[in-house]
Amino acid sequence: MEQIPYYSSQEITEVMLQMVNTHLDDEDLRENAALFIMYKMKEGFLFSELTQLHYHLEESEKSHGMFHVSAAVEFLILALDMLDDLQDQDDMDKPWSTFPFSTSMNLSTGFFTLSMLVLKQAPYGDDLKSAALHHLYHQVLRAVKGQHQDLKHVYDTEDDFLRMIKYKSGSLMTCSTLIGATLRETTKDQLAIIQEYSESLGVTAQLANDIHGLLRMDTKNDLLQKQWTLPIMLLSKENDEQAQWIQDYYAGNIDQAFMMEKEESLFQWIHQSPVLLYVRVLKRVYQRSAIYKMNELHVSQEWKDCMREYIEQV
Amino acid sequence: MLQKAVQQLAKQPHLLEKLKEDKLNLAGVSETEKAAVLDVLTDKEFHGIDVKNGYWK
Repeated sequence: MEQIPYYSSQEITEVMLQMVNTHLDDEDLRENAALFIMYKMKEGFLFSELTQLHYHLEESEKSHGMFHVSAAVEFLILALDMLDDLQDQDDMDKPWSTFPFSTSMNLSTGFFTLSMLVLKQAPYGDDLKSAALHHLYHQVLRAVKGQHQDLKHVYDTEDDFLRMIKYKSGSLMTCSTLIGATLRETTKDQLAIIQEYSESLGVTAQLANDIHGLLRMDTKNDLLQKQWTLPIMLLSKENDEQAQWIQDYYAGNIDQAFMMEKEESLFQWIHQSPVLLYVRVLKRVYQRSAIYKMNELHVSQEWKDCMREYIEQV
Repeated sequence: MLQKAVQQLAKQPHLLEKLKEDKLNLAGVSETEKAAVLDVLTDKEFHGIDVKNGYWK
């Protein structure tokens, strides 16, 4: 198999902007949309990379339609990322967090709709697009379920957390991979394998995000922001004084100023905690599981090497 | 099971060598989990467990 084709972010962005200009009939709305899309482009189009990889499971010839499919996937991810940030209210650096809540929510709805429209208009067979859209609907609804469970902040066990993460994050990875693989008429058996390792990859990515959120040294730190993540939940159950601070902080018995005053002690404790080590191991377990499962696919070694590289960099 | 195994290795880092040589029995830990433990504890970026730091008494 020849090298997997490359689809530039620039060209994907152009398709997205073209769709915005065609279908959003308000100049101010289009300007806001363009701003958010350009920001997303700089962050990187990681999900559509997966879509492209899975479209090219066996075929190396570049497909012009893949720019549209990639745009569809990135519209979807952008819409959901915006909603996630607005729900958490923890990242004021994002442009959508600087606009009125209602404005950004409205645009998120627009992007979500554009996602489905772009996919419907992509130059592939109707049956294939219908199947791809089915995966989009199904996986997004699973992600909504996971997000709802996450927003309730009630999870107190590792198993419950991991189940929620599979829905919340695993579903979006699965959505991206299955859309690509379906448009390539991949068999049901192969799709089942792809679904399984995509979920593991989603959990890997979420745990990586949670570790990063815990260790970052700025005011966006998950602990300071009272985000309820798996590592924080596990830390709160330790027997040390710092664990009690976490419990008191989340219960509202102590304020952020106290936590910031104890920053050095807290960070030292977190960095040396076996909890942090354990969550890193857990992340690696899911990462290895994704690789093992991916290797069951009946595809070229070159493709597997490419996918392994993607999984390893999470 | 895995969490207990990791806690054990955190408290007794000398057990890592035994794990590398496949001479350590971690009850209830799968081969994938064992491999993941090794990956993390031998990762140069992570620097393993710093015993000298003295947090663990």
